[in-house]
Amino acid sequence: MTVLETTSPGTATTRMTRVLFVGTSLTGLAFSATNFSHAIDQARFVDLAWDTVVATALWSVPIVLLLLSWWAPLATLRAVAVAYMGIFLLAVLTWPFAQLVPRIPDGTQPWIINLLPMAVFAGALVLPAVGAWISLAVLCLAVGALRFLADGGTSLSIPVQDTLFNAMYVSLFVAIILVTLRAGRQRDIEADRTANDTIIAAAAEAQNLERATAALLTHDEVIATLITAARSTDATAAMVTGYATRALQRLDALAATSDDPTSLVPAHALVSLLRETVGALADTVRFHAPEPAGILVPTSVLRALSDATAEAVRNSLRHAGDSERRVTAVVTDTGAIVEIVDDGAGFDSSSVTSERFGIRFSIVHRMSLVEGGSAELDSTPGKGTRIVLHWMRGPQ
Amino acid sequence: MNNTGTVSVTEILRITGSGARTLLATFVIVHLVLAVATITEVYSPLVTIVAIVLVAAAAVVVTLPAAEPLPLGRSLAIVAVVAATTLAMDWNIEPGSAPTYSSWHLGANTLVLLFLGLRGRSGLAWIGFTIMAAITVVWTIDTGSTNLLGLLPNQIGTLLVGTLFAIGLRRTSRRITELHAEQAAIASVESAARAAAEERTRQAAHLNEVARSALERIADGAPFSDAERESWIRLEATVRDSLRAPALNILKLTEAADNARSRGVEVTLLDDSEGAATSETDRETIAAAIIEQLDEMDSGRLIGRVLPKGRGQLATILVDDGESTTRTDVG
Repeated sequence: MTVLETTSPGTATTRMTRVLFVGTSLTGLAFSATNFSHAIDQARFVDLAWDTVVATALWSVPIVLLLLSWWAPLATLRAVAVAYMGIFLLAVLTWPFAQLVPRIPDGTQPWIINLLPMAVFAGALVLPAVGAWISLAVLCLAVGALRFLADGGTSLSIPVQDTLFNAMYVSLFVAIILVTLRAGRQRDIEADRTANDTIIAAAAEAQNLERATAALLTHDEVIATLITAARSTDATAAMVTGYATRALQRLDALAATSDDPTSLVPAHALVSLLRETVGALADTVRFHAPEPAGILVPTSVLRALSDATAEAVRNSLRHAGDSERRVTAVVTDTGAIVEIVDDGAGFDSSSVTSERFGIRFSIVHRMSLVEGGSAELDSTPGKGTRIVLHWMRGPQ
Repeated sequence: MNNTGTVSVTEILRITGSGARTLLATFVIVHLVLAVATITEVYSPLVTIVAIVLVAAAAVVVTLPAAEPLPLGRSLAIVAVVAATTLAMDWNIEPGSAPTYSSWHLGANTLVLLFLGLRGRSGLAWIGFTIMAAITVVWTIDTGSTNLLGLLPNQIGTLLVGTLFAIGLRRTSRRITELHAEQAAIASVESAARAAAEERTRQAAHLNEVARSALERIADGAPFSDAERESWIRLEATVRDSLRAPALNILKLTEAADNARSRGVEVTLLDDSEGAATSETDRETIAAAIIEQLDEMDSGRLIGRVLPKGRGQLATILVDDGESTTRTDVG
């Protein structure tokens, strides 16, 4: 049986958000790694206990976030991101008190400033757009102030340049994050709209096919029986009785398939339904089926084979162009096989495109829902397509 | 996804949009400010000015509209700008002085390369970065100063994160497209199955109501009376009406047509609207008009026809009483 991946509303939003969490944690890890030696160098200028706690927290949170990003609930990821923002801001605000020297001797910036991007990105992921930009401004200003104080509080030139560069740098990425989140939401909205259109079209198509199938049944069985009966003679009476019995069985089959899927119908009702279904779709499809006798099939099988055959023929009519089409149905004691063949354009069945989802879902998935049901597809570009529907009867 | 079925990060991130142009202006202005602020710390201000113009030009080129991947010529030009500005600016900086933004070009070039990668040229972006790093290593060996070399790790981090983000975004976007298609396919299969079952129930109920008793009578094998044969002829006509004129499948009209047929009127009902949404009110109006004519007939022929959409009238009724033919337009 085909296992379908469960999807929930907001697929794109959720997945895009997860990618951004991965990117944010990788940013934190990358800048932690590239500034590790810088941090070790500066350890002698700040309180060791403070430095140890802050370094442990700021270096471990990206690892935790990366490990959680692909599977944890988004609320958890957001909580971790908020925690990182809080730790970072606290570290920036308390660094001046932890710094042991009036000025970092080599003029370099405090190592925690290099971790500004992850803190800003975390804000962009948890706050609405305006909040993200405000948080960016606050963090950049806080970092600029730290740079000023850590450098002895004597010159504004470098802190101002730092703040300008940092703000420009993180702005690029915050814009990317916000645009990506918006793109995710937009794609979910578009997907919902497309799905609705598809659902409405599929329902209308199915409804039309049912009407056409019922019309064929009416024409071929009911009308034919009534006319024959009205004009019958003693010599044709037995034949007319047979017609009427068969028409009633077809009516029973039609009614049964809409109620109880476990009820049994004569196999010739299946063959008739397949013939009517194929005929309702196109009168150019050749249909061949030996008349089965004395065999019963579950109505669930009758519907599955009929629906899957309809989709296979529809698919051929849509994609195979002007080609020969043939449907063969064989029902025996052991099961049923329906083969739908065309000699049209064909396609690479190993790379079924989104346009061919009909095959995967309406045929393969449809058949897999029936016990003993399966479908196989064989298609080669330029050499046509062959779809075989199988139903194997289970132990009686 | 674009119409070729490939995922475009350029489209997702709107790199060529108005928001991107604002960020581009910010990028250029900030680097201009940094370059001017450190103009006294370089050997040649002219080299700095030429470099800032070149980097700004590269930034403009990387955000210009184009298919993804960015055309090779433009991409190579960007890599060339990165190499040329690194070569010119590295040796324009006084070695040994405290690190300042006189080395602005390394960060600026890395951001340009990051966007080159986002636009589908990750390989060239890393080639550009390798050239930039190699030139800086040569400068380090030449001058003995490690100031610029110390700046490279952060640039590697930036480009690495950007590259991984682009890869992740492409893969995720592709998967999202597949999932959305699967969701739509599952929903449409379910919706089709539901609609089919409902329609089947309707059709089965209609056929059972109309034809079952007659079929059961025929199937029981007892000899048929003339009255029965006549009723089946009329029933056949009624069933045929339901096929030819589904829009006129209204009980009152079905009964009126059957009564008229029993009086010897030849009734033909047709629907040429091809399933176009004829409203319930329109159908009732047409049925009432046909019933009115049928009730007045004891012989002759009536053809009621629902017209295709856009004909001005809803339907026509032709009545032939054997002497003359009259036509009535409905609606």
